[in-house]
Amino acid sequence: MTTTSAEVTLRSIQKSFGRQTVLNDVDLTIRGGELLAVLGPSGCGKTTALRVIAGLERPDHGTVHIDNDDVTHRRIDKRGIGIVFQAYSLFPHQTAAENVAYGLRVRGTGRSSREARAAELLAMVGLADHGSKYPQQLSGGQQQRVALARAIAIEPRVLLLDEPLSALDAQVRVQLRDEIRRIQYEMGTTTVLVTHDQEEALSMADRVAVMRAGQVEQVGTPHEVYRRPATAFVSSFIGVVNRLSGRVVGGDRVLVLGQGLTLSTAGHSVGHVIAVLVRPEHLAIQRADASAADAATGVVTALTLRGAISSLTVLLPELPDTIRVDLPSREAQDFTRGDRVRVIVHAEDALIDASAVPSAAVRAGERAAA
Amino acid sequence: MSGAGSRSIVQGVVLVVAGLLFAVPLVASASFGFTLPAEGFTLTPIADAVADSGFGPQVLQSLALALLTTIASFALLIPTLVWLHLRARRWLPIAEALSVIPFVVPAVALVNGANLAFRLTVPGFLTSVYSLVPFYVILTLPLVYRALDTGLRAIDLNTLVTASASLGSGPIRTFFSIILPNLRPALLTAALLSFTMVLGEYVLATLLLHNTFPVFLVQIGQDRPRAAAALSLITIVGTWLMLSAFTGRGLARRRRGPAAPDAAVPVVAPILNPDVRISA
Ligand SMILES: Nc1ncnc2c1ncn2[C@@H]1O[C@H](COP(=O)(O)OP(=O)(O)O)[C@@H](O)[C@H]1O
Ligand SMILES: [Mg+2]
Repeated sequence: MTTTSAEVTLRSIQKSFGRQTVLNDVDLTIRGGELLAVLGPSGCGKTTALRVIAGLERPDHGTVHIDNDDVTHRRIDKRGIGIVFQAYSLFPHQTAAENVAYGLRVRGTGRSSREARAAELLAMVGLADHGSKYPQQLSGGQQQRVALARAIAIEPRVLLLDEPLSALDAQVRVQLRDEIRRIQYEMGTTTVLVTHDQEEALSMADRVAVMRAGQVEQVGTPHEVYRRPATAFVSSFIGVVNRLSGRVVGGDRVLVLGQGLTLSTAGHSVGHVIAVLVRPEHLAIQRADASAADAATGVVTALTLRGAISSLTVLLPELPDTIRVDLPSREAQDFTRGDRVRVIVHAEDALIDASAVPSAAVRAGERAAA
Repeated sequence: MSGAGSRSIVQGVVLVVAGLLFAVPLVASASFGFTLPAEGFTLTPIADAVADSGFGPQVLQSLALALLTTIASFALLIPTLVWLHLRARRWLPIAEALSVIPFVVPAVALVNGANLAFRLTVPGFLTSVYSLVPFYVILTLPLVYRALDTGLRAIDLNTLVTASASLGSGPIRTFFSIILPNLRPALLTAALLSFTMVLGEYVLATLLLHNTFPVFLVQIGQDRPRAAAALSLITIVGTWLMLSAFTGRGLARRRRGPAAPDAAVPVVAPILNPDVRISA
């Protein structure tokens, strides 16, 4: 099995449909051999970006390179690209094996060697016994496996996956995630995965590019985009985030829930109220006295067991919405609905640096994410 | 309960009435065509008709016309429709509206207009029997268009074409090895509709003075009505058998597994053959 690990570079890509700008100056490099997830809400231009890489859309401006090869004006069938679509892209009149072998047939590979190769690839995706079945005799998950095998069969320089799991049941989806990741690892093929599912992106990708309204907001490892989101949009789109308000009390000192924290205040002057974003797992709670009455003391309104962790919903006096606190379930079982608790902002370094964004901007980001 | 019961009674009644409407003329023409008052069942009328010197050539001529019409329609419509579906979907409603114009323009108007135009420009054109082909293409256009359009709508054309292209296939190979095989049921439907219409078309042929099979039927019906009845019955039954054979094979294929997109199943074709029965 040859390892292809081409690097894909998008430079200043601009694409409009009519008056709607769908890709607005996109710069993106997909490193050789990595799996990069393009993550963003529906309609933000992910599929269009993928289609530009594939050669299905011609950018109005900018270039696409595969290694040093400028493919901006090359037709799809000459780019060496494998694509897996959302669903139902197998050729209905061909068996699974014929589907997988189709690309090899186009290339003029002899019958026996392409049949052998198809069998080998079907075995790799766990469908060794299904080669003679027609697509409609296969389940959705099996069809996507065949589609993956078909795309890989031609040993593409780049593999493009456009929401390949979104039409599948939750259980199959999780299973196939791991499998795609394993196969991509084995093949070492540079891969772009488009998804609107942050869990999918974080669990599968080497790096994640977060898109919003035609622009790439951040590119980083799953850890980076989760722990250090570059913008309020990224922080609210990836994972759950609590919006607390803080008051700047000095250079890089912010008072949040009555607790003084050291934060970059990005030029806000003393006295300004800013939005502070904190992940549920970066908060903690303590039991509070019935008499305690301050900004950090509130009432548990709900408790949800999520397996190893549990989520508590707490209503604080000075915030419009409840906040979420995640605890190990072992600790959470000490609390019940109606308990008075004190919320502690856990560790200062867990605070995310979008904290300096004024609250109006944070709300705009949330609207876009919704 | 009683609602469902009365519904099934209504369904039964509708089925019986429709069956009678369909069967009575057939039975009547069968009994007329295959019996003689004195002898009972007989093949004499049809044997006479077949023995007529016009029979063989005119049947062959009509079959050739049907074949050429089907080929010409396909050559014209398949690429056009595929292109519209892939590249210009917003023009589809307009194309569809245009495709029914032949239903609106009476055959007589069509042929008189054409007659006049060709006499003035290329007088020789209309003398060949194959000059009927363009007219028949126009005549069958609404039905063939619909059959093909339904077939194209039943498959995810865009995804299949993109998938094929991404696997390195050029447009021509994609057309022949991906699009056409998946249009199979629709192509069959369209071909059968086109054949049945051409094999039953009388008005244009007679106006343009060409001797086709329906013209033969009418002519022979003037002196030997029983022979005409027997022959048209055979035509109808033959078409029906051909249809059953094709749809039967389609069903068998479906049961075995490969996706047979649910394109229009061609059960309507025999009814769309009114001209043949005119002569009975
Ligand atoms: N061929 C097209 N013609 C017109 N508008 C399009 C076309 N393709 C995509 N769009 C528009 O571009 C925007 C982004 O689409 P898309 O890239 O599919 O988003 P995503 O995959 O992120 O959901 C959408 O508003 C969509 O309506
Ligand atoms: Mg999309």
